[in-house]
Amino acid sequence: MSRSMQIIRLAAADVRHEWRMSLCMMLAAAAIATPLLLFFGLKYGVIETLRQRLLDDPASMEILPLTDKRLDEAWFEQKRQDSRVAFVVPHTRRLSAQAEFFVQGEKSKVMLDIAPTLENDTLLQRYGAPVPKPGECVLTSPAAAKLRTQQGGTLVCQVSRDRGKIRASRNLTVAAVLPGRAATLPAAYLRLEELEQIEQFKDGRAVPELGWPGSDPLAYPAVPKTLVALSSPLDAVREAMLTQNTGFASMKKISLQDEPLPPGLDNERTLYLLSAVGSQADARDLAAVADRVRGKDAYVLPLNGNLSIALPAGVPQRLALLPAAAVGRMLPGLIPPGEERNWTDFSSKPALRTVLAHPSVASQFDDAPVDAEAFFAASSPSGQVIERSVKLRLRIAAGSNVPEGTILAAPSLIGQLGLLAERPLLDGTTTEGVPALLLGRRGYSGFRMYAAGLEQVAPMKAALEEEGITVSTRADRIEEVLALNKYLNILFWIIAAASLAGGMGCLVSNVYANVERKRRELAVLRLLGVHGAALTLFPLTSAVILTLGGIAGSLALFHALAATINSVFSQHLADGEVFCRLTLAHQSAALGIALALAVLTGLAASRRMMRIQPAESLRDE
Amino acid sequence: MTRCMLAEGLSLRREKNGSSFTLTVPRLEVSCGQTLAVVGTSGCGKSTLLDMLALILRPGSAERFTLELQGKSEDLFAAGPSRLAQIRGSHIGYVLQSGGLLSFLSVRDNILLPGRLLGLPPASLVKRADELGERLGISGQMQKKPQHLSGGQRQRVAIARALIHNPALVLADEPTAAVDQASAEDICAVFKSVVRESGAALVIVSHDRPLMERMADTMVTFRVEKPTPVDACSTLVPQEKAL
Repeated sequence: MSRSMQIIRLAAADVRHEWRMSLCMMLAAAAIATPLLLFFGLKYGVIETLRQRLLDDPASMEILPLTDKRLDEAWFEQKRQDSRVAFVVPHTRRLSAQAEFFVQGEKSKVMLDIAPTLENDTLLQRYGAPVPKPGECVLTSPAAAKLRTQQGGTLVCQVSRDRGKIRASRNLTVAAVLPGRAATLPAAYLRLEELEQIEQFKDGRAVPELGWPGSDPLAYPAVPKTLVALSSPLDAVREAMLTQNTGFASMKKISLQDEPLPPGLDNERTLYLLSAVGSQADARDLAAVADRVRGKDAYVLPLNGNLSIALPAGVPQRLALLPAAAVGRMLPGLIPPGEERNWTDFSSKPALRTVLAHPSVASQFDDAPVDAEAFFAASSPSGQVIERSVKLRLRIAAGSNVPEGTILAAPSLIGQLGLLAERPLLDGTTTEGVPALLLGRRGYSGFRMYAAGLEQVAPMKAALEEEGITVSTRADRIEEVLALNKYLNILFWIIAAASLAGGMGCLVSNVYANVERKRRELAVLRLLGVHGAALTLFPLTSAVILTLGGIAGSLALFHALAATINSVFSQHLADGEVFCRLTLAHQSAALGIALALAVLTGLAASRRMMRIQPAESLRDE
Repeated sequence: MTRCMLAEGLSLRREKNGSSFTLTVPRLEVSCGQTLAVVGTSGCGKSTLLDMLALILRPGSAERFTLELQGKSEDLFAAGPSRLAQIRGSHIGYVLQSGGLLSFLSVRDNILLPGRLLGLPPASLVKRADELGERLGISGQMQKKPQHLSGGQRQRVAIARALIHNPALVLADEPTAAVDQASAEDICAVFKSVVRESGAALVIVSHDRPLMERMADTMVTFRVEKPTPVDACSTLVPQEKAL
């Protein structure tokens, strides 16, 4: 056995031999440490419980808009990327998000608010409800109670418009019922797409997927510019009349080279380029222009330089889009296939899907329909770049005199694609099944959002209000808990400082007195040749043992008292909640601090002892 | 006779509350197997001398201060504190006035302690402890704690502890001060014979001159001079034994 071990054993034997004295010292340490541990345990337990309650309640993290503001897909994408946001789903207009629900065969109908949901919905996830699949819904418990249905039940969801004159309905399966604490109001959660269908129907539009009647949201033509080509110039009055109530604000005479133009126009013609300022010109505007030049051998050609077409592989660059015909009249020398009326139309009727391309391009596609994509790109007067695109199926036909890098399309197609400047479009079908460009959603007026954590609610609220979106949150309550935590912290540190000072004093004097008491034993050990670090080990070992014992006793007492406190308050606590609690880390920290203090004091005291000649201690008696 | 320790020209000066005390040792030689008694009145410097010999008090100056260890002469005045502690632990045994036993160890463990601290083989240590216990008449007390022993028994235990590691020099500070005359005679007699058997040198400090005259081979005492009312000089001088 090494000499150090011998000394440690001697010190342990000493502590054991003087067990009454040792117990006193341990009790003194425990007396100081226990109230401190208890106080810290209470502070930690109470705050943690409140915090956990807030955390467990998704409503704490909920952020709801109070004002309607149009938000586009880009905005939602940005929020989905935001690390402060756990979940966000677009919401339709509030008024559209209502429907009557009833159980087939039952008389009572219940009007329910419908909330949109998608995968990863914080609320549904928290309560273990699945995200509804198409044809399913999740009900809140008041809604299920009113409808007298339960999970797995089938409901009819009925929507109406024109004050109930036109009705449509569909069946929904109840995928889950949320527990009572999740929501106090009757409501149904549906997938966003299905809520959008309801809104679509209420807006008067058809929902072909569900067989709900209504109008098709056909894209209408809109162009920024129009070329008027005449065989002879107009007089000044008639020129002026081209920009009078025609939707066009400016007019200039150009030559063939000034602007990319379709083939078929000759040098003899006088060309007027009309430009719309602000909003684009529509079919009525073009009809007005045509009216002004009636009987003048005029070609009215809608132009849109902001459009281009991308074709599948094999055609690397995007191709410019030019009209293959004038409004109501074919261009000379261009003999496109098919009916003339389809080529010269300029309206919201489904546009002709055949386009003309240079033979070198057309030959690659062999007359089969191809998946193309039309692009719109322009910068607004405010300098903002707007870019939108829509995928659509086209048939590519060869046109002998189509310029390279150009696609010639019917004016209707150019006009309808021009609407990309204002809103998204999508390629769909009419209720009759005809392919048509349809109006896409311009955005959403609201959302359901959940912050990623308690601390993220306030900053997220601030960020949204910065954007001009007023929101409602529970930030105030969260603030209260965080503030309570702060004040309790201050209180704790004041009390802790006082009792720590007392505790330190007690511990220090304990250890110091013990070293003094052991003068004679230390002197005897020195006489027996023990010196230096080995000798210091003797008082250090007893300091460590006594402190360890004291803190261990204190922790045992703490656990007993904490259990008592927790059981006294148990009726106010949910499962797993505690009022007084310390983590293992806290407990180890308390032990560590006390030990460090004991070792430091022991070292200081024994250093002082070492300076005394052993002879002095020996004959003290 | 073989020399064990030699001190020449040792001196130590202590000052306390404006008064001073100077101890001078012109020459002191202790031989192996010999018993040297230091006698004198209280305050003459007996204990100070013993502490210097025990290497727990360093003399202020010394011409020669050596301990003979296995035929080698160790310079005690030049050695550093840890070497001194080592010599103290291995080659010196010390019997304190009140025994100086550790209250938390049994008699046996107290006796074994110096040997254990030196890391000596436990089996032979226990054997030697039992021999010493037998020799000193404390075999029956080995398992007891010191507090349950009489003063005389404690001194016997202290003597056993001082001898357990076969030191070259055994120092005793008033070993019989706390016991009655009869026990003192017994203890001194057995002490002397046990030390002699082990071949060590024994230095006893005592104020009991008659006892020492019977016990010691050689005696020394102090001549105290007071040049001023506050200063005292004490010089070690040989003491003739009264025959």
